[in-house]
Amino acid sequence: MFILLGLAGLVLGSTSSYAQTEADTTVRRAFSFRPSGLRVGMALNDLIRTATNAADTRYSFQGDLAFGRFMLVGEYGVANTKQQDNPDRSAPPYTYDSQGSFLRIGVDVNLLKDREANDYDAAGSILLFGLRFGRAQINDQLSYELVDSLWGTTVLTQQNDELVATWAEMTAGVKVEVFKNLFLGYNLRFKFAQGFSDEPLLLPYYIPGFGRSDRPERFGFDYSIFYRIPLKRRKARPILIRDMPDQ
Amino acid sequence: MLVFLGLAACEDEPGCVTNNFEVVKLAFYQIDDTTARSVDKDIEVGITLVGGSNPSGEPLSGLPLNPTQDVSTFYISRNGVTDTIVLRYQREQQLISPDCGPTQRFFNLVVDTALTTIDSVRLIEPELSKIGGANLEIFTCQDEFYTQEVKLNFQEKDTLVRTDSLFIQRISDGTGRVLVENDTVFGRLNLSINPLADRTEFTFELLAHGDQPARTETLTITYEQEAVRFAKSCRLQTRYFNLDTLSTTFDSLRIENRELAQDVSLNLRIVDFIP
Repeated sequence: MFILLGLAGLVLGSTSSYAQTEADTTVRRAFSFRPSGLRVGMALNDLIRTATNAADTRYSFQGDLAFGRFMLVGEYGVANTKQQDNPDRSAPPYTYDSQGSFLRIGVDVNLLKDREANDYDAAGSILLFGLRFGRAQINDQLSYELVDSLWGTTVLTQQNDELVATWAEMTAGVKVEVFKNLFLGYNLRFKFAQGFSDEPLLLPYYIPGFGRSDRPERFGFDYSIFYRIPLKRRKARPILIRDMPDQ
Repeated sequence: MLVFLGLAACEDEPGCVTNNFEVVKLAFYQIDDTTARSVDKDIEVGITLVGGSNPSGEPLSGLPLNPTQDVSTFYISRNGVTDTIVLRYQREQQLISPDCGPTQRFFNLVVDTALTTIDSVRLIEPELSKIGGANLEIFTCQDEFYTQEVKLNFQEKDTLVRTDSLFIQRISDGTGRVLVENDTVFGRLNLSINPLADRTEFTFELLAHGDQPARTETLTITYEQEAVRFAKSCRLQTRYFNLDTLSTTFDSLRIENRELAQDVSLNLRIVDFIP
């Protein structure tokens, strides 16, 4: 949490130093609203989990559209799980099925200066800090046998139909260009302010994009691979404005 | 890179123990006009589940909620009088973890009551948990303080040791009401008095046992009564006091306490039996 707040301070400090002075000239760099590139990727840790855990299926994709040093980010993912009791453990007989998806949108800012271009353009390798709003939709069902010494034995079933969960995120990470337009990166996320649209009578075991629902705040870590589609030339030439010296 | 791959693909698993609890914890208080005294350990409370059963017979110390419905009804009995408490609540199911399995949380407790002897019920904590204090505080008007029963103890002559067992054919009062029939008691006996009169005559028809022949004994007791209200909101109760013996055919007896009350352990000690 404090690391992320520190990075936020770096952002506030660095955005104020937007002009540089040389000798007798003032150079101002124009800010363009034309996106410089679209980076698309997917999370590798979800792929690994899906491949190694037969009960879980998770995929997540991310895209970011760079405008100078800022990036507009959208993320989408799917998380399904199918659980049942383990005969080797003492849990009562049960089945749990969950299908869900999530969407995250937000803004990232690049904190890493490109030495060649002498700017913070997010076209190349970046050190990012960002904010997200997350929303997930869950359909799940829990069914189990309840044995009570006073009230008898019965089968309880409870389900959620399109339960909506929302949360906010602060994220920091890197995306490193390992080959031209091919990036590897990771994100550290602090997720907080999690809530549901209705009070659920079945607490979902896993909220897609957020994690387990037993805590309203969670840390997350993911690593991804990206490919960048350039939308304009990477090095934007600066527009020089020369102030004429006083006569 | 591989270490990160492994670490990030895993999440810490929660422990299987939760604080979820299915029993409403009770705290009992006796009230008068100015104070409420905690009496959790002083009174005997009988709790009956409506729609459930208690096969073990162990006394219940709280109100165990029905895990399959959102409402549970209980009869709470104290000193032979019954009050009804209906509890409504919500239940939330949860899978703790794949290995631990499911659990259920009870919350949003609401109380409906049909009170006879309980003055009031106050909801303290609407969510049930293993930790924390009582969910319900029950305020009573000390009905259990007074009783209509005289408590007797039977002892052997000379040794004053409490009689091991008393073989009873019948015990009746002067109105012809049979109080005990064909029973064996172990030296102690509680008998109901006639609440409408100022005296009760008991007739004891005892069976032969060992050197003891079959015999019939009588005991007549007298007492006074007065109406008592412990607090403005409490109902009027009757207090029986100034217990005395008018006549008896037992060898001798001793009055231990002249008040008929729940917290009095013994009223009369009857010494008459041959060891």
